[in-house]
Amino acid sequence: MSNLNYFLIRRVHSLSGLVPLGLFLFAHLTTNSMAAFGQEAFAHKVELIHSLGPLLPFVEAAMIFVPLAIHIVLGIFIALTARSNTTDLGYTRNWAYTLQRWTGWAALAFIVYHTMELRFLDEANTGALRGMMLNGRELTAGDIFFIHMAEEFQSVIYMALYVVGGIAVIYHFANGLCTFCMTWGITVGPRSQQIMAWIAFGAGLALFGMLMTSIAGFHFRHDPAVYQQMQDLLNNAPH
Amino acid sequence: MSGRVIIIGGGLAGLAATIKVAEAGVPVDLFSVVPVKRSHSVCAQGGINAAKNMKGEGDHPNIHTTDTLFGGEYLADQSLVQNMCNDAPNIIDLLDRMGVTFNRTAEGFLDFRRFGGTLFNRTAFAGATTGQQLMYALDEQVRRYEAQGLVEKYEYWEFMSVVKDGQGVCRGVTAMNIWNREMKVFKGNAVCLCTGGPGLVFGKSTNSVINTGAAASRAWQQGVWYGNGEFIQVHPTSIPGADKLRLISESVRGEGGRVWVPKSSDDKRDAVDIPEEDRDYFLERKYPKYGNLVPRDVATREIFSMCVNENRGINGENMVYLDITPPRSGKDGDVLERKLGGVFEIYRKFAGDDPIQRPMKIFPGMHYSMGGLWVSPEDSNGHVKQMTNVPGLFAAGEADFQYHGANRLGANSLLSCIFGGFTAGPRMVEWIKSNSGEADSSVYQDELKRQEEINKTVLAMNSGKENAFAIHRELGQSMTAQCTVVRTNEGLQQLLGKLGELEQRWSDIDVNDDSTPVNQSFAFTRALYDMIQLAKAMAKGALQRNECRGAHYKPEFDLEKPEKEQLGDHRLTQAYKKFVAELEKKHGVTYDSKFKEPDNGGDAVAPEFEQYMEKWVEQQKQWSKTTLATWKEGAEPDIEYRDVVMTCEPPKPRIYK
Amino acid sequence: MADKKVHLIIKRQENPDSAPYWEEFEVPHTPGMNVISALMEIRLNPVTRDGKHVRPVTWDSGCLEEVCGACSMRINGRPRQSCSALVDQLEQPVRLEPFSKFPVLRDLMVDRTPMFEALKRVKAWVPVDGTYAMGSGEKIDPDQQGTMYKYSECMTCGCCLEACPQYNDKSAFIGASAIGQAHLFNMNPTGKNLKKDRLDELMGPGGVVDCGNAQNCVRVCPKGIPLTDAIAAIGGEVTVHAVKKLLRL
Repeated sequence: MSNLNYFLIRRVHSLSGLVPLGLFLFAHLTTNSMAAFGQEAFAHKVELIHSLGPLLPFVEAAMIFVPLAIHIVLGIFIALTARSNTTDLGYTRNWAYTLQRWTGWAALAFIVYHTMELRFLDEANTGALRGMMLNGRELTAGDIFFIHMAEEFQSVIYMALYVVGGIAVIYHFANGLCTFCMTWGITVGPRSQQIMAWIAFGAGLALFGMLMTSIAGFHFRHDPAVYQQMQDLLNNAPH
Repeated sequence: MSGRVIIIGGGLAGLAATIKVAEAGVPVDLFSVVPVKRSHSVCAQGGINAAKNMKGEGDHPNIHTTDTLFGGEYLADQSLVQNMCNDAPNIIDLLDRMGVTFNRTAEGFLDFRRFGGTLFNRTAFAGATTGQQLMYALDEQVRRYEAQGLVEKYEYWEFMSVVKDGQGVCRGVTAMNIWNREMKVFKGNAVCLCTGGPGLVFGKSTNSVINTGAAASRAWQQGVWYGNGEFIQVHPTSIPGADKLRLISESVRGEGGRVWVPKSSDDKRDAVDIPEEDRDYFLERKYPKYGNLVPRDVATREIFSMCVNENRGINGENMVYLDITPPRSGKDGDVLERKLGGVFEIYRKFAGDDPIQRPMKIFPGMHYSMGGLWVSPEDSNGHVKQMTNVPGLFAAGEADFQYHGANRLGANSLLSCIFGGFTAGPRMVEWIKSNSGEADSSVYQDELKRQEEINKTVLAMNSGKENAFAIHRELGQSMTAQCTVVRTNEGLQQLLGKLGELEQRWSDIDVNDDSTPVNQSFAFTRALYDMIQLAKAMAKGALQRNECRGAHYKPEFDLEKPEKEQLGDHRLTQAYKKFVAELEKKHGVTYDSKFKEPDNGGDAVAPEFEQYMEKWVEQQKQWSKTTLATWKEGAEPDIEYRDVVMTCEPPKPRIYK
Repeated sequence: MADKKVHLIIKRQENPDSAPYWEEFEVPHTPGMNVISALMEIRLNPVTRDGKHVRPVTWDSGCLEEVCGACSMRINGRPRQSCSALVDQLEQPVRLEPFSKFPVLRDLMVDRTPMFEALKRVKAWVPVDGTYAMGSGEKIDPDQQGTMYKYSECMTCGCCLEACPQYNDKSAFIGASAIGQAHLFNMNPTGKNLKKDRLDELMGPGGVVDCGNAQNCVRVCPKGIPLTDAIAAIGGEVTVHAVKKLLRL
């Protein structure tokens, strides 16, 4: 591999973490936070995304799945070259480095689970229910997701999984933001790097807030009756 | 071009020589006991002298020459010193071009500071790690040639001996791979020893642990003359440590550092609590003109005598204060930090105190050997500059005896190393043109066999009761006690006896290690033998030289100076006039009139001064000679003397009025 | 405190291929002593704590004042120079190990040749035409000199590499010291003539992109060289360089 190609590949990994994946993370958690305002608010927000219509799969592929796949494959190669040594050298940034790799693995597992569960497994369900009427509301994808997730988030284990998985993703992004600025030569000295660390910490905190808002939203806005009704609808739906 | 050059040692001199040879397109095999980048030259702190006259002081290479000769009390071959001082500005320019991070003035020019033994700001410096910076610049250039295939490095290879053919011409070397004890013979048409000084002969010194002097000693034992061995510079300011003496650069005094002790030896107060009026700045008191920047030997003796003779060291210990704190030096802490940060760092790290807050505690430490392998000062009579008396064998750097006479000026060592290397390099290139042949293969094999035999013998030393490192400690203590600051014939006699005893005991060493990989005990035991031999050259030279000159101070032979008010201008004495006339005749030169008569005619001199000058002239006639030691197995070395080349100026007495 | 002792635990290895083992020693304490003087004491009487006569310990050293870079080792797990490691400032027992990122030659001594090879790779030199009198170099702003000076203090001791989680047998990473030197020579008025070559080299596998920003290098550097500044600066320069190359500018 030529030096230039190697460099470009590494830079693609670095960049993809920020744009589009980082941006997607913000958008995704913003949407999910709407859960705190209830099914309708959430569904409305989701509908905005779905208004892309037939373009949606392409946008998703370009903005999420392809960059994510690239980021993951390259990330695995990078993580495999590390030999962490925090036992002897417990400096903050050394921990940050090690955690970046650990959270990378954790995030990978979480994202695989999360995507499998919601993006594909429920695809059929949402397709089947879409357009049906429930409590005087025409069900949209957002409604179906909300009802489904609210039910899931009654489980403590499920909530814990999302808290841990979410934190891993958020940490990976926030620390990645710092190292991105170092790697690209945007923050050169220790001072600028420290400032960037605070900014990233702020961003991480905001994302964490959104994560907790989302989980809490789904958890507390749960209505078992609605879920049961949706199940009934699903069972009675023509196959 | 046919022929190869072998250079032993990758310090400043070795690298300088390598660059010159490689630049001429001749391949070089470069040997070093350590990766060249770790050579001892990195330890030089203060700077490198060049009379570039960048401060509007009217400095000139001729004045640099005079300062160097005067500082060395006229024991240096003058033509070489003159060449060196003339070339110094070019060398600085070259180093600048090679990327040395010299300190700069506000306009961006090289900055210069003042060092001992001169009244001019003549010393270029890179922080307080000038030696390191110069080393790296040359190392980088050599790496460039290495990448081009012109230089082959043999790092972790130790020089063991010279290979000489039937005519006594140097044809190569034997060397040992320290990692696996492999001995090999290397053919070369010219060999240059740039193996540094013999600090370890004195046990603890300011030198690196690799500076055993063994390489020079090995060459000496093979017939090379050892010149001026008795001249050992003891640096006035070092931090005493358990493992070594750490140099505190003269630049600290150059930047305003002041040496003092409490006026009362009972004063047990903390240094910062002792008010100005209770401090004795004894160098400033005794030498108003030069103050703290008197030549090194003077500063050393004054500090030594203050502690040892007058017992006025701090708390009765062998230490005095060196005070660079802003209130005493008159310089701002930040400025000091920028110029001397490297020195301060050493003090903070190793003594655990901050020199900007509190005065440092220092004592003299063995620092540099003016003596070394004899190399010719001239390209004539079959001799070649930087070549030893063994044809084809060159030497440069601290390993040679040239340039510094009886005492080296601060910041002249880096210069002499580079200049020596730059002189040796082109001459080796020239030499191999007419000496490109090889010796008979048996010559190489015989020498290799001889070395392997010695190795076998040393490795088999496992039943004795002596420890090599313990003997080394004893050697160091004896040499430091008898052969450094103050010397007596009685002490030196004892010392020679002691050296004989140590040589005997050496055979009773238990090497304690017969393994192959990196066998340091074995290598050290071999080197220790050579150190003991070299110590004899120093001790015997010192014993024979019944006078005081530069670093060699023997109180019983000190000429008694007339009272201060009786001192006059030496040029007006009859004895001196006659002496100068004789020198001019002898060396076939006419000295500049400024060395012979004062501008304004001057006053008549006191008869006491005339008498003093008569004795002084006698002393010069007898002793302004190079000491040449020749090795003798199992005995004291033979000592001969050789006239000093005095083509620039006549000696003048060392009188500080 | 006449019989105060220093307790050392030393990782030993007979030769490059043999297995390491540990030995414990006890030496008399002297005021202000460093790890080197403790090792020197052992050398005078190589007997372990439990009275076994052993071969003296092998270690690498040179100047003993932290300018030559020879005496690096792991002291209580931290890579540093053993000359400036004062025993009184260390937790006892003092644990001495050779660097783990380089082949061990014997005991505490390792082969750091790759570091010098790395300097060749980044062309860490100023391409001067020759050594003949050609006048002085360019004037340099004293501030610029101050920045360059810090980098020029790098003594190739290897602490930055030993501490670096990215410098290991699974990665080709060149390490902080060589990147620092590349940065130094890129700043030099003549050295910058080779800047493109250096950036080309640092763009590829093992180059600056293999840095993982753990920043241990700058924490353990005995000379306090701003290595991470160099890495970031080179990172930025390499990006520009790559874009230019891509666009054939």
